Amino acid sequence: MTTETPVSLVETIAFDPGATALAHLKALLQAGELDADAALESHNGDNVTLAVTGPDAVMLVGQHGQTLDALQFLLMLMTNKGQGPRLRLMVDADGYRARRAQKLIGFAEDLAVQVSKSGQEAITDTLNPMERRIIHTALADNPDVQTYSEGDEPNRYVVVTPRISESAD
Amino acid sequence: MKPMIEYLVKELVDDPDSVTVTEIPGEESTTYEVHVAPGDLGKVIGKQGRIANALRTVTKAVAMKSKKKVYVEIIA
Repeated sequence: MTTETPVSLVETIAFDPGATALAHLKALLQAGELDADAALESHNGDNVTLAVTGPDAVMLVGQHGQTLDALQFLLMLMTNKGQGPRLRLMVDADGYRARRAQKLIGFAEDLAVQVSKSGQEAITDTLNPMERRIIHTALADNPDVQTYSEGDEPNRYVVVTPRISESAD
Repeated sequence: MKPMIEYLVKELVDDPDSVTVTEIPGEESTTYEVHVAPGDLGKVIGKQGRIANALRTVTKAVAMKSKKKVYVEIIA
């Protein structure tokens, strides 16, 4: 899939959200003259994950992944444009999201231990929806705590509370 | 930089033929004037300027490679 003329590239392929999002991302990297490449990391139904690698990939991360979020938002708009199915897109660069997810899982587990020991609820920093989901998922099966989100975007955070277990053995 | 902005904007609007990007070089910064059809303004600005801000964020990040400051202005 070489891209001589980025603008017409997407019209040449049948609609496939993963391939379309990837084509857009590759075209952007090329048009921005970045020394980086993109690949489809996973594609399950409407969940698509793209990963940017290469020497310039780190430039797309930004503070707290801000640039990555902006890029992901634009790619989602471009890919969903005029299409029925809503694509759920995740864009990673230089492994940032993967590292961040690992960090959040560790943080969630620490909070769970703290909450179950103290019996007091605890809150996370402000997190974006994707980050909050990581915390919820990480603690979903934890027998000692439960989680919910609170606050208004963009200042939503996760509350971890002791699990109220009436039906516990 | 200009090709990237053009690509982004043309893919966001309904009327890509009306999109022009003008590069205005300055001493320390470059301004990109993005012209779109009046009906497409919302497609590049978005609610509370969310799309325009995302465009600026990505453009600024990519411009760091050339160590240049960039501004993106959207004009109908």
